[in-house]
Amino acid sequence: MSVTESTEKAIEELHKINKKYTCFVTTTEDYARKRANELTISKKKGALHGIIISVKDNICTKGIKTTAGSAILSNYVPTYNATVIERIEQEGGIIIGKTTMDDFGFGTFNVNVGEGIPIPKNPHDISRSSGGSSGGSGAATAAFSSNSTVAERLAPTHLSLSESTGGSITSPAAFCGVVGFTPSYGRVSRYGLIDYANSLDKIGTMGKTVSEAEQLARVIFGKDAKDETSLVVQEKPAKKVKKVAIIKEMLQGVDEKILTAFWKSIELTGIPYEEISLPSLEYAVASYYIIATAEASSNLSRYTGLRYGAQEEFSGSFNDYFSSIRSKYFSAEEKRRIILGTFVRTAGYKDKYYLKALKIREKINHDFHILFKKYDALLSPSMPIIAPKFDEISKLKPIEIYALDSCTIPPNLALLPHLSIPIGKVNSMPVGLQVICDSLDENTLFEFGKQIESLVKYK
Amino acid sequence: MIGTNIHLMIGLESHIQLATKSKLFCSCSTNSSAEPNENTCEICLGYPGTKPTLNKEVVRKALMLAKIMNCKINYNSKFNRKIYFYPDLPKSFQITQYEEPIAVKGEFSIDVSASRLPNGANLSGAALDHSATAATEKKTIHITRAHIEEDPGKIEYVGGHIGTAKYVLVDYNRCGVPLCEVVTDPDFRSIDEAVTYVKKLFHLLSYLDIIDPNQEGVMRTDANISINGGKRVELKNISGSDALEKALKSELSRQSFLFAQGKVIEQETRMYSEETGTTILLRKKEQEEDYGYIREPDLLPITIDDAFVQDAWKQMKKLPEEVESEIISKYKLSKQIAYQLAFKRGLYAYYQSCLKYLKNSDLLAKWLVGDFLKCANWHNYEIEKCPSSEKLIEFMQMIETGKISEREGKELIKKMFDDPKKGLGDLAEKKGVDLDSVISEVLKENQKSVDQIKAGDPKAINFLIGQVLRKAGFKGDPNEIRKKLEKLLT
Repeated sequence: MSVTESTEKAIEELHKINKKYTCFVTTTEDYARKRANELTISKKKGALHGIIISVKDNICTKGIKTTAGSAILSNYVPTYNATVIERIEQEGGIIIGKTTMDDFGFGTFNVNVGEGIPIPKNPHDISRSSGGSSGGSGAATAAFSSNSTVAERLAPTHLSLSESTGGSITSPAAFCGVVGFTPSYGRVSRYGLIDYANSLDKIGTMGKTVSEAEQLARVIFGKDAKDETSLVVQEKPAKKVKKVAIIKEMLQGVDEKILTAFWKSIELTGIPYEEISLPSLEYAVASYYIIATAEASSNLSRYTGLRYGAQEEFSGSFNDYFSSIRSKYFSAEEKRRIILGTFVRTAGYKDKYYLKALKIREKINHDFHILFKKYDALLSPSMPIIAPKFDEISKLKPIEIYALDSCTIPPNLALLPHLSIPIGKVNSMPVGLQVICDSLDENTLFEFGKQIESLVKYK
Repeated sequence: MIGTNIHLMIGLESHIQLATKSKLFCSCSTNSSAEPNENTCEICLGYPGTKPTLNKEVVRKALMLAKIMNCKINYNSKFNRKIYFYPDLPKSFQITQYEEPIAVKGEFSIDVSASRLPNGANLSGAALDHSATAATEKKTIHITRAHIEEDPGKIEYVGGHIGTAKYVLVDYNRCGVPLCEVVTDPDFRSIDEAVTYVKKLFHLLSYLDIIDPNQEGVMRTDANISINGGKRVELKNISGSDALEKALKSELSRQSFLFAQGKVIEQETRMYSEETGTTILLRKKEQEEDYGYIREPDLLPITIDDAFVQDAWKQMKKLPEEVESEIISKYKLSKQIAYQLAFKRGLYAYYQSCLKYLKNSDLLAKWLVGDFLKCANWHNYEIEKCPSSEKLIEFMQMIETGKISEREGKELIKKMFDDPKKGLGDLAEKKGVDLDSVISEVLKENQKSVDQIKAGDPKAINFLIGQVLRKAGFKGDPNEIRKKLEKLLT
């Protein structure tokens, strides 16, 4: 089958999927066809030759609308490509659309979306959330058919480019029963990623298997002169994982049935483990929300309705104008995080919150660093609950929702590479296992992930 | 007006535009003559998703500046976000150095008048003129800190000023241009000292190519001023030393007036208006914004080592006094001439490029520090705006060969500055002058002098010679004129 033919087939499937699960903000059929024709003619075969790629809508695509899930950017068309997009195109990947997300990544269930931006439905049960904030990527990855299995590892048909700040890849991957990979901070350039919290944002990948997620990850890895925080990494061979740790604090508040599935999978792998305590994690969620909102509130201050995004007839003073634009187009969750983030960095409160949160992050990083001297990997459930029903979510208070990030925040705050791998089902809904490795040791993470995948055999 | 019992304290914060080809965090040009918003890109316009990357050349220039301010270098400085809303600030935050600036604790010496007059007096700015032997003494100004930051865009108030304009236009060309902000301790005890400091700093920075003096608004100063231990008032965004002097004088008299009436001087921010010649209230202390500084997460700390610092300093141009000694040893010019040739930025290099084609190095130096420099200063021209060296070579050849007289030369140099487009040939063209008719006209117009000469006053003839020369456009030999006059009058 030529790339043109396979792309046409994928577009057909895309329409069906999007109708059922509403996981795309924008679909780019014409662009995909054009790229497919170019690839059919071209002699060069890159690492992603002819593979369909969906892209989270906070990653800038030149000439293709990029909303970051927010009403304030609902008409925004970037004039440039993110570095990751350039790399995917160079390797022959075909971008088929932009996946929906919580506005600016502010959410765990992908229900915080701006007007006109769809809420994705979980392909396992459309009355349930597909997780967030990369909910569209999770749903699309689960829904697209695949000719690849763990055993065969054939070329995938679809892969998804997603992003995590505090768990936005693991959450949808776990809820939708797919593999989510979040890299070490600095392994992937953030140039062209619309910022949530710059010191925590990481572009990662999703696929049906660890190999698939790895395939896309290998293409986007690498130092980029346009992002100072991206790193040159000396590749080291994967370590053989001999001993793992399970952190008690990351089991707290986890649903009993999920815990049962978790322990069963540990048993199946047969890997020696130790249960340990990491007391500093008590403050991880608080520290994360302070740092993330402090940065987010500064990032979102640029949306004043002047140069891009939502605009209206100018009236009154500059202050009147931007206040009215921001009042009208920012959602409740956006406003909540802006207010919270502005408060924690205000003189008089900064020492108590922002600066203290930075210290806690340092302490947690240090504690993890010590752990990896003794253990090769850490394991935990991916999420403390299965994908909730939409009507259940509306009953939750923000603070209860934030608490559900207790498993995903530790590796995200400590900037460690991690995977979410599906391990079974509870109440017919997928459950994920989170695997965390030492900073920049993605090689060990991928190999260990594949090992778990083959031993646990999720269906 | 101002009592001598007033104790004045001034501290300055100068925003200095560092001369680099590209902006601080993107590759856009810093050229100020571009069309509005021509020098912009996604990064300096703060488009979603873009990230800043540091221009190392800015760090080098900042290190040069730190050296002349005798600052302690911070080998690990950091960037912060200063967050506030303003139309000239596309990201709604300015990237600046807050907690960890690149340089701290410096000392900068200025010459102040020894017989210190009461505040506000002696505003001549003569302290710059080293050759003046008037009693001066050194005073050390302590530098609190120097930090790197990005410039915001430029706002044009259409049809008025900040309070009256109907609308504003924003030009983002300046947005992201590198600045170094130099903050002094409140060490100035007179307006004269503050103005002297700004003048000296400006001269040195231009001299060393750390700033480009031809750029508009290359150095903008905020001044904190208080009297008799009262609350300080901040005067914002003053461009140039003349405006600084006016602004400080005006604010000093405002505060002195309040003080004399026994009124409280409040802590506030004001701006100087050229139109009214007074300072205008911008905001009171309680209206001051909380900038909510956080660390800039997209930029790494500026980590430098000794090798980098030394390398930057090695690239520094020579200081005026170093150039002066070089001139003395190389060209055997007098100290007085060497000083002047060295002091004007770029003049020595100009001298050297002319000299390649000329025989008499003394004569060239004499002309350059003489009439040439006089014209340049009168026009307030940097060397780039002066007549080209090719033109001056041609001019000097005319002098050397005696094709024109010294007096004609003086006139010609003026014309070269006044009429830069015209060629030297056109400017120097000797039109045939009918000396005899000019003389008879002058005699008619100056009957009084004629009478004096006839009465036996020999000095009066010099006046008539001068008048004839002026009328003839200095084309004519004074001796010849004298002979003709003597013949007519005796």
